[in-house]
Amino acid sequence: MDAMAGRKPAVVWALNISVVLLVALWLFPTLGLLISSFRTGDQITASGWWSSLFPAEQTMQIRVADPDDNRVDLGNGRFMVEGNIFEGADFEGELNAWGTSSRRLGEFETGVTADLGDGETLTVEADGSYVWEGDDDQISGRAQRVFLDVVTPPDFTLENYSFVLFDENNSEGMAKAFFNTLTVVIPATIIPILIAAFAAYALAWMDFPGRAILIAVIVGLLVVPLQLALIPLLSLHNAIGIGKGYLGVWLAHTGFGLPLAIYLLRNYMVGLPRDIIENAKVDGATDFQIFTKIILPLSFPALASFAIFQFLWTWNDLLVALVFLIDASGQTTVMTKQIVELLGTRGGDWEILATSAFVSIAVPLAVFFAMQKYLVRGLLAGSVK
Amino acid sequence: MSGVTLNKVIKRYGDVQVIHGVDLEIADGEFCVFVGPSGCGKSTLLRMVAGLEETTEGAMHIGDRDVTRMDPSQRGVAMVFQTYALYPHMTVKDNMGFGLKMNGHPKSEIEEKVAEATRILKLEPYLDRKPAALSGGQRQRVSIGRAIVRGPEVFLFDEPLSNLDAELRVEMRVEIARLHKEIGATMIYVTHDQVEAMTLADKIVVLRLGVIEQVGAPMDLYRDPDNKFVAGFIGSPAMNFVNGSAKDGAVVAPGLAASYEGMINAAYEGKALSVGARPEHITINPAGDTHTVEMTESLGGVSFAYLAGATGERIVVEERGDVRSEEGAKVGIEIDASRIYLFDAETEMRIRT
Repeated sequence: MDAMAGRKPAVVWALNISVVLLVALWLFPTLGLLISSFRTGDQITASGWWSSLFPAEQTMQIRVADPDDNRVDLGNGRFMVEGNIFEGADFEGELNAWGTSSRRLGEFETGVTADLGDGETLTVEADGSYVWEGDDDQISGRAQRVFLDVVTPPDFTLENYSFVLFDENNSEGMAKAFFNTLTVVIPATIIPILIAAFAAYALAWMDFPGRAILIAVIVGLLVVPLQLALIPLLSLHNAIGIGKGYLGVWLAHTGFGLPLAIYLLRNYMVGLPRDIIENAKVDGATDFQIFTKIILPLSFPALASFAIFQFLWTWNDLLVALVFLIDASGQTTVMTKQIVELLGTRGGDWEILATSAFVSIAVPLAVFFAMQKYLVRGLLAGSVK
Repeated sequence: MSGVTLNKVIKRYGDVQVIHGVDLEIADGEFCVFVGPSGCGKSTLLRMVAGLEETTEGAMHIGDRDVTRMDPSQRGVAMVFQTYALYPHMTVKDNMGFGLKMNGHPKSEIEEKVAEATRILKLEPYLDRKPAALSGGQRQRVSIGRAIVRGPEVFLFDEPLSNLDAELRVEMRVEIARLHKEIGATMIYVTHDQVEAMTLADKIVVLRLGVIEQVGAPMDLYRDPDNKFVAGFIGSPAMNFVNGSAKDGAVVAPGLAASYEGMINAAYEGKALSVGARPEHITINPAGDTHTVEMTESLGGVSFAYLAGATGERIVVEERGDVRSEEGAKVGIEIDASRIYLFDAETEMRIRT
């Protein structure tokens, strides 16, 4: 191709650039969320997530140990305080240089003995150990201040996750909501696919009166907004005793997902070669056998792509869950609802929000990456043979 | 035992009638070919035999069973499709065993029959492949194998070779002929290719617009066509037709620059006729000057000369031997009067004398 065309046409470049832009547009916020979820609240407010990936240079101001308590008499009127400057401070990193005045930061290399005047000396080693020496007057009163130039490595913590997922005292944790969401999503994905596959086969390959009208009705149902049905459906659920609960939300998701599922699957199945199905009929297969042995295996890309769609939007659903599932007890809350509540109660705690958000997008991400080839194939289904 | 009998079979789609009362008898073990131009209803007729199209009226028997209203699976037929119709997600072995499996045969029996069909079709190396990994010819063999495995009373072939390239088509044609000899089952074969029809058939059924034009052995149709359509359809290149008339008991054909005595009875006196002659029955006389050679096609062993006569009607002449005519030359033609076919110009029926 290259040899023939010589140069790539401009449109190819435009395509490549826009793909890169789209990928970046998607990647950076996701990555930011992921990284933020591993940082403490202080780190998030202090610097952006991108800077946390690299070692940070900073200046620390620390006093050496209190001379009145710690000084050692060396004789001849000389006294000394010895210790580690990082003692008691939670610090990991590398000490590059130090100084004793805020005006002259990094004045001394590590290991150098600095003359502080009148025979007073201070030595700070690279590992933070120091020796402060002087006469009685100098080594007393307030401890010497040291300004340290340090480089801290990237620092991440799993604490947010353990708080959000595993802390039993945390009433706003995501663990329960996570499993509630799974409880909603898995049946709400499988049930409509089961029903729709049968319906799609019948609408595609079985002859019965009124088939065309039924298909038209299903296409019509595609454009009915689900908000329209919320209240009537809820009162129906209450009237027949389902009330609010998992069964209700499964039924609701199934109902709202079915028109699209039937439509997609029927369009795919009707494109399967007629000869294959006729041959199976001549071979003596019943309609049910044709469906299970021939149609279902051949329709796998379409089934998978619809499964992904249904999974993703029931996972992200808030409205249907609010109407049909979540009651006053709060025991059946789902993740979307939980995050809405977190925004209210913990609006400032970005680390909690980021972690909770990432917990809620982790499963869709995994599903998407595992199944993306079926998603693309299923979207193209019917348009390309 | 398992011949096929069609009795006044009619097919309608709504108001449109596509098969107009076909009567046909196919003997047990016979290889019957339906041939005709596209849209003549030959595939529809085959699918009606298979049970994939409902028979609107009439009766259909396989052996002594009335199968008119039976499901395809109960008729004891197996069908080979033009598109092979293999199950793409199954291996060759599973494809061939599918029919038996659906009918609840035991595993060992399926294995045995698949092995037998595999041997006949020399498919052993491909048993565990999926259809996508096979060439066109191999796929069609699998498709035929799938039909064999079921041990049907009647094999139905719907243009099985149309998707293959020319060379494979010849190979598979021979294969199907061999298969028929080996199995000896009744076969019905649909094609629009008259070479396949002529070489394979015990009996050819020529169809046009849902009506049987003639039924007979290949050479009978060739030598003794009932009407102008069959005469023109069987044979390649097609038979030449020129306008003629009966005058004083003789047939006058200006396009051939000839008249033939004693060929026609008085009843046709003055009527318009269509005079037919096959290209191989016409010889070119280089000494004559009644026709002009417009074009020649040389295929090596034979060449075809396209002549135009005084009436402007074109005639194709087959030439063999070392001397062939040249384009632009003026030539005459000679035909043995016994090789002339006469047809009523109006009804297109053969006038036999």
